[in-house]
Formats: sequence, structure tokens, C-alpha cells
Amino acid sequence: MKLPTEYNALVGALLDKAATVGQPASGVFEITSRCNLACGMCYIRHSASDLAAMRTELSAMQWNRLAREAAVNGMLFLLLTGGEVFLRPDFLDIYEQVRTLGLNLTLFTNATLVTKEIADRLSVSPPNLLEVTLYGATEATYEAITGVPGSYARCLSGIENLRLAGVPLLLKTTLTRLNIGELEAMRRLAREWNVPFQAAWLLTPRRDGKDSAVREYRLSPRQCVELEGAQASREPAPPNRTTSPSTRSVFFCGAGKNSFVITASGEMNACIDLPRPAARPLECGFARAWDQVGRFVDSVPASAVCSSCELDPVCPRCPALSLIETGDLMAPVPYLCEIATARYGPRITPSQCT
Amino acid sequence: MWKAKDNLLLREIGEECVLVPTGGRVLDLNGLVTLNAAGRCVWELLDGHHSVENLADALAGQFAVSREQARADVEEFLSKIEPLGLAVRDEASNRI
Repeated sequence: MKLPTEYNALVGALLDKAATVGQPASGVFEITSRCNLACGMCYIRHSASDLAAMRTELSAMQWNRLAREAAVNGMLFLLLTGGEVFLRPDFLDIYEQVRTLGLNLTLFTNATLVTKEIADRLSVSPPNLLEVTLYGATEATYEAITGVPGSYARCLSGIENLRLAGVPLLLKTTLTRLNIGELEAMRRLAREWNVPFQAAWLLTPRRDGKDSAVREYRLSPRQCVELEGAQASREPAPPNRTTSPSTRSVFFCGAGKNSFVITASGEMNACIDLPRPAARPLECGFARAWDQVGRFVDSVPASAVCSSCELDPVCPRCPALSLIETGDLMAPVPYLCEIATARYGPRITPSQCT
Repeated sequence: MWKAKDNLLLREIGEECVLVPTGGRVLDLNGLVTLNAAGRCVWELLDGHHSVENLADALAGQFAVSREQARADVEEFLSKIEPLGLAVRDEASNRI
């Protein structure tokens, strides 16, 4: 089969091929669960000074060992994220070691800690893409979300340092009720900086089950679907259940088929939103942990309610979102039911409502 | 003689081969280059010690193509990867 030449399509085709052979081609390393910002809607949200979280974090040596083992086992794409990765004083040591492994590397950051020195050091051996999250186009809105005075100016300074250093950048935002009014202004900022821009809005509760303010921040289902429609002409469509047969399961992404996540404390899971099966690659070895992840994903049954729903083909629900929203891998998620209804139009009612 | 540039790693994903730039080369080639089986065969011989003729011999030996077709394929392959900065004519090796 001839591979596509457009970049995103090519990556998708390669990941589909990886899924057919169960290759862990795409990894996420959550280097820390701590962050210097305090966004109320965040799904991790440990403070920068959270000593309990800090104590559980893997060392630089452990991250580098995991990266080497993952690469040997077939990892080609790696995302380094947090929390905020630059909170760790040894982050660049981790990064520079990982950079030598022949990986397509992406970093996520809020940029508020990126000094000129950090940007210059990154530029020596830059990531394939560094994605900066912008929470607003004005200081008032940005800091209403981050809860940290001065963070907007530090974010702009970080972005400028990265731009001047020539690091490949993408600007993105997490849309909430607080900053939806500044979407166009953020897009304009990205244009002025000559960097691509993306917006996301599917917010999830805290992964650890603690109280989350996400419901106060998230957009209405109708707003989500309007944004999807507006974005369709600019950017790739959101994922839906049209994946290839190789990845078709109750998970409609590559979780446990071609991708995995390792948390700050070293647990390997199927995806960021799903703290299962909590395999321990540093203890049992990468290959055995990956096998556990695959077996977990294969063991998750379909949701009897959702699979009989007429909206299932357009519904964003998956077992991870069910678990994080309801505590049950198979339960319908009312917010997502409403999004599916809004996507499809008011022609039918989600099955759990009938 | 042709030589692959440094800091490019050949990685496998499924049955596909992908060239991944490392280090500062990311700025020169921020993307992925996939190689089919014939491309991989040629790529692995770009060590500065093989001429186009040698590469065509290797290709014809490994695949069911004529010597002439193999030479044409090698030249086409090299003409694609040279502008991408993936390989260079190694004149120094040529003089040895």
C-alpha cells in the first residue's frame, strides 16, 4: 500500500501499521504531575511545591532508561509533558539524552519558565514540535484561568524566547467559558507570531478523582459542536469512530494498540485519561508492561448501553472518558451524550435517556 | 560514491522504514521520510564506499529487476534524497 505524503496522514498511516503488529510506536512521558500554574479545569493539577507528588517522580536516569527501552521496543514518537516539564531542574538533561534516540519528539509546556538560556539550549537539538498552551489573549483572562499573577507576561516572554531561538512552535489553547471570547484574538496573536494555532475544548475531570471544577469551566455541548464546525475548515476534524479495522475496539484510538503513557511516578497506562493498568515497566521491564497494557485494553468490554445507541458512531465517548467522568469504564457520560446529540442533530435521543 | 548524512536514524514501524533526523538536523528536515524495501536496500549501502554501479548491482541482486532498471531506480532514488539533504556525493571517497 502506498503511504500518504501529507505529514499528519503519513503519521496516521504509520501508527495504523504499528497497531496491526502491536508495536508501542507512540509514547507519552508525563515527566512531572506538578505545575506552576493553577488552572481550575486541569485534570492533573498538583502544585509546584507538592512534596508528595515530587517524591514519587522518576529520576532523570529512570526516564532515560525507559526511553531507551521504549525505543528498542519500537517507540518512534514521544511526547514529553507534565504538569509543567520545566519545573524540573533536570528536564533538559532528560531531554538531551532522549533526543539522541532517533525519536520524533514533541514537548508540551506553558512557556512561563522558558528563559532565553533554556530556549537557546533547546535550539541546539530542538524537538520536532514544541506546543505552548495559551489560556487567553489578555492578562486578565489568562490569569483568571491560571490563577497566577504575572503568568501572562512570563508566557509571552517564553514564547518570544522560543521564537527567537528558532524552536519549531505550535500555539494552542484550551477553551473554557472564561476564554472562549478571546479565541479569535489568540488566533490573531499566533498569526502575528507566524506560528500555527490549534484549539481544544473537551475538558475532563481530575484523574485522581479529587474534586474538580471542570464543570464550571467546560463549554456547553452546543458550543463544542459549533466550534467543531467552525474548525473543520481550518484544522483536522476531531477523532471519531472511523478508524481503520486494525485499531477498532471499544477504544477507537491507538491506546494499548500502538500507544501508551507513563505517568510521573512510572506507571504505564493505556492513555492519559485512563490510569489503568498501572503496569510498572521499571520493575517488570518495558516489554512485559506493554503487554499488560495491551491485555487490559483487550479486556475492556463494550458498553451495552452505548453500543446500542444510534448516536454511537458520532459519540466522543470511550472507556477512558467513561472512567474519568463516572468511575465506570462502560457507563454513558451525559455531557458526551449531549455532544453526540448536538453533532447529529436533535433527531434521536441518546439511548440511556429512553 | 554516495554517503548518507550523519544524524539520521533508520527506524522501523510496522513493516515500514522511516528515517528520523536527530539533533540539530531537525531544523533542516522536520518531518519523516519513509523508505520502501528497495530504498532501504540502497540507503544501507550509502557509506561512501559504493558507486551508483555498485548500488544498482546490489538492487538487481536483491530484487527481480533488470540491471538497467535497477540503475534507473537508484538514480531516481538518489535524485530524490539529495535535495532533501539526506545524502551527498562523497568526492573524497571517490578519490581513494
